[in-house]
Amino acid sequence: MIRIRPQTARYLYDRHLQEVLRTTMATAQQARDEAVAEVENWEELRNYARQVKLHTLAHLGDYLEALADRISSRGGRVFWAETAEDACNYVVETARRHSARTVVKSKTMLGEEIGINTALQKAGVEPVETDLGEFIVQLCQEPPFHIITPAFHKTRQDVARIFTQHLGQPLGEDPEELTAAARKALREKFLQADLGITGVNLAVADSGHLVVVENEGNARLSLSAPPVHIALMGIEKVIPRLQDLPVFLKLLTRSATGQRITSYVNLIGGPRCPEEVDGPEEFHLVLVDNGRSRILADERKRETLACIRCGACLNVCPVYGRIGGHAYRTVYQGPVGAVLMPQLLGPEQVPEHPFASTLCEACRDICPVKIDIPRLLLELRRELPRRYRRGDALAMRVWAWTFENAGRYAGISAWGRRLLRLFYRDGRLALPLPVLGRWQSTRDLPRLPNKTFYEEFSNQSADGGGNGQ
Amino acid sequence: MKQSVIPAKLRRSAGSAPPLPVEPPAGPDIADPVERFCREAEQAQARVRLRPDPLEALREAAVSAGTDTIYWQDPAAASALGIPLAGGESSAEPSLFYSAVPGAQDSEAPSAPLEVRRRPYDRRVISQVRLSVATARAGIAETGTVLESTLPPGGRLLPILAPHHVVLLPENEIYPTLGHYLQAWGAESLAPGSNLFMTGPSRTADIEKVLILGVHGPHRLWIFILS
Repeated sequence: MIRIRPQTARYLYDRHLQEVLRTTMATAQQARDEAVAEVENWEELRNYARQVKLHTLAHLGDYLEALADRISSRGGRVFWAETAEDACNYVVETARRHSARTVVKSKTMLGEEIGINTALQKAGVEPVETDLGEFIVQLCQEPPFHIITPAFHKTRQDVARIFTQHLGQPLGEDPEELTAAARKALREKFLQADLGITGVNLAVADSGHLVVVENEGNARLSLSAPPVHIALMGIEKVIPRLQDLPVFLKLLTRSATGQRITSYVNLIGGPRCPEEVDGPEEFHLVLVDNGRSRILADERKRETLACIRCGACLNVCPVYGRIGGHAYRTVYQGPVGAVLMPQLLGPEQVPEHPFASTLCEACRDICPVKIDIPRLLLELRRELPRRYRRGDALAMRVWAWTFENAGRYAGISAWGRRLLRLFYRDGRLALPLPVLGRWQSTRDLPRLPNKTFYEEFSNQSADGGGNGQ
Repeated sequence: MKQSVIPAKLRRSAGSAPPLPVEPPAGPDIADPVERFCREAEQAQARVRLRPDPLEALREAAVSAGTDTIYWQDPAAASALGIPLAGGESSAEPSLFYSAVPGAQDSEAPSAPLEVRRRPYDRRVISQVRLSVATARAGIAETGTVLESTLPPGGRLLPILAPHHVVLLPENEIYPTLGHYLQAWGAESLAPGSNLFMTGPSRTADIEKVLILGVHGPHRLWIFILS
């Protein structure tokens, strides 16, 4: 079982992390908001994309087969992986067949999900992360902190220390110098690598192209320099038509990084053509299910699979914004992680995930494909065995009992008010409840007035109007 | 292709769904695509030259790259766009094409055609190249994006490995949006292997969200719009 609660305090009291979260999340949100505000028909695009996604999910088998047919007709090999293990075995097998020693990887969350790095290491193959952020966290042996910006919790001082230790030369704290050092170290890896692995952001069924979106050029190199390219793709990533691509690209890049478009958008259809002088001789597309067909079978929660992994919901989430990515202890974090992980791993494996939310609905409002994340969270909470939500259930029952009858509500609030008044010390509310100890030490409730608004209003009405007319 | 149970499984749980919308919402109206392209590309930190004297512009790029040798991804296509080149006939064996840029190191510059030389294709050579020149298939005004040409004889690594990269873009191939380009040319215009849409230089903000240009790809991108 993977829990969140036990480690939250550690992240909440990490001053540096809190500072980074506060500033970075604000910057990311602002960039996204500005990029979105420029698009006059943003709402129309969201509705369109949502409809396309829901349509595609209902016909996923057909669209995937169309994509697979196109890719194999160009000499690409397509492998359908039912589980993470199937996918890893196929990649390791391919690496073995080519006697691969080094694999260059560009950022793939699916790779993290299936544990491809561990599988490769076990087989004696060195996986090298080439996205700068991923490279940094890999050197620290940490998982990514965020699906778009994996190392944003590291300061330039951290990175200088890590690079000095691992790249064999003393480096200053200038991000430009640090980036140049990574470029140099990784350039060698690109030219030596026997295999390149990338993820897939979108796949176009009718033209048979995989879309890989990036800014650094590392995906471009990973899929161009080594003699073999393996693309790992979740089966939910397909869209029907090339004409839909501009809409999805616009939604994805503006939501993810606030860019009108990323520096590089790669469209890959297969291995190198006979006319080409470089590019991979072998191209493999691994279509990974790993629990997705199960999610699809549940029509009420199917929309989870519409996610395009832009990370916008992480950036607005008040919970992610306080505890950060590592507190979740899972590959996908934040609101989308909270709905995806229970469905991928099984609800009892991550029973706290659906509760890592205030249900403020900011995630639903920002989602470029309008996934109703709060509704999914509630569904997932309901589906958990009772013992995982005892406190929640009790609180909700008391709340419901209080509110379902007007007289009961008025009575309880009147008595509650009187009762609370007994506990004010030096003008502050101090309830003698140890469970509220620290929570209460930084929060206060203003002294409640003698009468409620409702009582006040009824009195004035009884006095003959008083509505000011 | 191995037959898989996955598609059948997915079909069994298809359920109800909305129809596929007929066509995507229209993109923005762009009155002057060339002007918009220049603005957007510059905002993405590319250096744009509109209808420049090609040799002078190439010399400027070479000086800024600190080199006097340029590598051509497709000399024939560059020549078709009005760059005065001599030689550089294509060859059956994989090759790299390059030219010395006279006058790159001094301001006195003759305007004679550049002589294109050929050497065997070698990745180690490419990784030492300072300045590469490619020809774009199309430009997208809305985002200042260029689409790399299909199957260039110089290969696909050259434009991404060199720290300085020049893209020659025909002015009449600038489309208002990506949607317009795809509508005009469709899937047939895409290469079966690899296609690259490039917008500005390579960049990262992975260290403290500080923008750094030139991570794995070029840190300077020039776009010469030629009529």
